[in-house]
Formats: sequence, structure tokens, C-alpha cells
Amino acid sequence: MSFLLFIKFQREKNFSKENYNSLVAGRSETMQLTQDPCLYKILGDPEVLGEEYIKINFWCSDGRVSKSTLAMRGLSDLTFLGVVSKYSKIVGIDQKVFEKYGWTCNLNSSQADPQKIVTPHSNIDCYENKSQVPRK
Amino acid sequence: MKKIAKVFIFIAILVLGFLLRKKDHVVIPIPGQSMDEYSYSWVGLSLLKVCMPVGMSGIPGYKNRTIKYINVDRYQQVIPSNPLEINYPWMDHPPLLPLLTGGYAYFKNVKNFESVSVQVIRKPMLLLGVISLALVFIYVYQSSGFVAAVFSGIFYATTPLIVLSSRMVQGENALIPLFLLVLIFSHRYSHGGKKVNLYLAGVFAGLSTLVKLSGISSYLFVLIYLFLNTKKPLKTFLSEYLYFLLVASPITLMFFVYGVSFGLENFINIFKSSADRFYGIGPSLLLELFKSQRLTQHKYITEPIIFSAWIIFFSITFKKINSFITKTYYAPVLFMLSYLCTFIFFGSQPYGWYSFPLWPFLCILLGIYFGKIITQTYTFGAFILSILALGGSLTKIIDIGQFQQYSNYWRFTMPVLLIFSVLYLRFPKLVVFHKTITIVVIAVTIAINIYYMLTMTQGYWWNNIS
Repeated sequence: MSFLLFIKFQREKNFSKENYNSLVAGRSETMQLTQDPCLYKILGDPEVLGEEYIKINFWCSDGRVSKSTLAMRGLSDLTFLGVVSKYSKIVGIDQKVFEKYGWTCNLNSSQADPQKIVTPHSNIDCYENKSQVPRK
Repeated sequence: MKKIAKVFIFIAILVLGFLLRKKDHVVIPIPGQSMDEYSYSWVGLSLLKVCMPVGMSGIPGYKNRTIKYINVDRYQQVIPSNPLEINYPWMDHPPLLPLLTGGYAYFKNVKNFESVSVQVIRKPMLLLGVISLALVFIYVYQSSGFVAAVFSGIFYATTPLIVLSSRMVQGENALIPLFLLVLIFSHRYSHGGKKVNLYLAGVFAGLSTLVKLSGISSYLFVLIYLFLNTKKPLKTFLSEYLYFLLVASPITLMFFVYGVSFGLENFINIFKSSADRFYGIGPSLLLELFKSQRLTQHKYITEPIIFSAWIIFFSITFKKINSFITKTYYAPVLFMLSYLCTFIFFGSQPYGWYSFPLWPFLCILLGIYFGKIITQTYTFGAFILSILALGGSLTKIIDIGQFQQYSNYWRFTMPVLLIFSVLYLRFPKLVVFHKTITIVVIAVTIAINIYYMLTMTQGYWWNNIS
């Protein structure tokens, strides 16, 4: 009985939504961030499983491409900025790189508005070099 | 042999077992091949950090669920994977193993789930693997003598599948040392030991149920083992088992108190959902156990040492039995039967780790067999068994194309040795040669296994292990 009360007391003292989130969603301290968005990709394919998804592609100027498909149920912030930030966190991209090297991003072939909500089956394409951006 | 030499050999086997387990333990098996490794540790870490067990579960019935991408060890760049379902309060299994690996992560100042790397959480497993190895040796030494213990110890230290499996954070790897302790103390008690041995067996049986509910097989083992001791009256058996239960069951009950303290409804829901799980092992479990030794659900190696040990298991069960207690190798056989009962009862998916607890007992049986062959009566089955292990191990390091250049050595040597192995039936003095050849073949097999483990790379693991 005292064991039961002890656990209950400790839980009430220590468990909160903030603590839970920092534990579950906190960034790894050991993951090395990359400056190369074409280096990694997420190998899972939620499209095959019939889930709602967003495709996110990075086109590097040396011809390399990184293509990933994100399951929407794994994303909490569905704005364009939220999705790109989340993707960067998952694969460990240093987000400063996008500004530093002037990356340009399109959402469904139009220039992306950072606050626009990304809908299911959308395509996000980010280009290292503006000349790579397909003309309409 | 002098005691100091025995101790030196014992330590040498432990060191060998540790070094093989440690080599590349961070990359093989590939992180993310079993997400249980992370989930167990997340549960322990969250229990210690926020007093709430948080982990992954495939079981429906949890009210609190979050879907998250947690790319720990960058596994999502290697293993095709989708976001993870995180649940709390996680009650899939009792918390003893989570507290071990998650506790180690906690003391290493790991702050969140994404930082729970296999580099940290597999370290305690290396220690558990070496403890299990020591216990295998100790049991065989006390029951069957030093030579048998050396054989069992070396088999358990060097068999590649056992080495690889013991690195993984799986409940079964924590069950193994506890099962072996129950075996050791039950054996001591049944062979004239004091009652404290029975109590200690009870403590470790209780602890095994705090690792996984399949730890209940240790209760079943003690029940059958005491019951089959025909030297004692039935009344004595009942009182002995009652003493055992009085020690073991309060420890087991701690899981239920722990579960209820996080909400009775959640605890009951998880139990109900577990009971309704898909019976993926199917009716061919026994056949699968013999023909392919699995590491995960899809990765398996046909392991000649384990296969040979299964043959010994059967040969023991084919013998006429007068008393279970007097024959030392019946205790491991009984433990295997007890574990198989719980394995068949609980079912679930055919994950490789469910069969891990059988392997130390198989190594014990094989070691006792070779110990008897070398120190007591030789039979030519020993030579056939050693050739089986040698041939099977050779194919791991030389493919059939490469083997062609050595085929003439094999095609002439093996038939001659096979015929030679039965000549002791006409000339008993030849037994010394037969025993020597058997030892040499076993030694070469072990050397091949060590070489295989030392040269295994992550690429080989990924491409060559089916």
C-alpha cells in the first residue's frame, strides 16, 4: 500500500505535459547536424500504408536529390514552416543552411508561404540554386 | 587440475565471451531492427525522470497515445520506418529491464528519447551476457564437473547467434541469468542443500516475472522439478513448494501493485488486449525452433552448435528415465519444457528473442554431453555431431565456390575419419585417438566461430544474413 502511495505521490509531483513533451520530442544532443540537406532522407513510405502524407524533396546544385515522404499523423504543426522545421529536426539538418545558402522552396509548384497550411498529398520542393526552380 | 588453473580458464572464457560481445555491439544488430530496444529503455528513463512509464506499444487499449517521429541513432535513414506510436502509462511488460537500461541511460545524463542511443543502452546488456555466461559455467561445473563446464562455457561464449543476440535490449536477455540462478539454486537444494537455496530460487523466480510474465516458467520449473523428486513424499513436496511460493509470489505481486498504481482500468485494458494478440507463432513453433534460429522476426542463422544441442535434447528425452533428480542434465531439460509451455501459451509474433532463453540450456546440454564423452564413455555419435558443427560453421566463412579448392581434402579426410570413428568397437584402445580427434574438430569449430565474429561487418550482416 505504501509502495502504491509512493508511486502516486511521485507521479503527481513530477509528471506534467511539459516534462512529457521535452522527454518525447526533445532533440538529441548527440546527433550531428548536417549542412547538406541532400545527405539524408527518411526511408519509410506512409503512402504505401494508405496514410495521409506529404512529399518533401531537396534538390542540390550538384545534381543530388533527397526525397522523403512524411506521414501527416507524425506532424503536429502543419504550416509550411512547421513541416520543414520538423523534417529538419528528424533528419538532423542545421536549419541555418537554408538562409545561408539561399534555398528556395515551393509548395505544390508555387512559392511557399511559411504560414500556409500544408494539405495531404502536397509536394514540398526545395532548391539550392534558383536556376533549378522549374519555370511555370 | 589445480584450482588456480580452473579459475584462470573460467576467467579466460568470460573475457573471451565479453570481447566477442563487445566487438561492434553498437552497429550489429543494426540499431532500429528491433524498436523494443529503445522502447524498453524509454520506459525506464521516463519512469525515473517523470515517474511515468512511457514507451512504444503495438497493443490497442491505451488511452494516452502520441504519434511521433523519434529518429534515434538516425535509424530512419537505414531502416524503412514510419512515425512511432508512444503510449503511457506503458504496461506491456513489467519494469525491471526498463529500469536497468533506462536507469543506465539516466545515470549517463541522457535527457530525452532521441538521445537514448544503443551506444548507451546496450552496455548493461553486455554485462548481463557475461553474467549469464558465468552462470552457465557455474551450473555445469557444480552438476557435471570442470570439463563439461569448459565445453558449455565455450559454446555459450563463442556461438555467433548467442553472441549477437545477447547484445540486444530484450526482456529475454534479462530472463536468462535469472532462470539460470533459479536452476542453480533448485539443483543445490535438491542435492542436499539447505533450505536457503529454495528461498533464493524463489527470489530469482519472482524477479524473473518482473522482467516479463513469461518468467512464470521458473515457477513451473520449480513445481515440476520438486514434484518429480520421487525420493521425497508428496507431503514434503507440497510444503517445499509452499515455501517457494511464499518467497516468490510477493515479488511477482509487485508488478500488479505497480500496474494498478497507474490506473486499474488501463492495466486491465492492456491485459485484455495482450490476451487478444495475434497468435503469430502458429502451430509449427517446434519445427521452426529446430530448423532456423531467429535473431529478430526476419533475420536468422542456422546455427550448427544450437542444432547439435537440439539433437542432444532429443537423445535425452528418448532415454529410459528412472529418476529425474539423479541425472544432472534433466534439470535443464525440464526448464526448457517449462519455458516451451509458456512460449506456446503466450504465443504472439515469431520474434527471434522468444527463443533466446532456450539457448543457454542447449549449451549446457551440449557441454555436459561432450564432457561425458571425453571423461567417461565415448560413442561415435560425438564425432558425427562434431563434424556436423564443423561443416555448418565452415559454410559461414567459405561459400560453396571458394570451398572447391579444399574439396579434395574434405572428400578424402571425412569418410576415413567417419569409418575410423567406429573402430573402437573392435579395438577399445583406439578410444584415446577418437577422443583426441573429436576435441580437435570441436576446437577448430570454435576457432571458426571466433573468426566469423571477429570478421563480421555491418555490411556483411545487412547483405548476407537472411
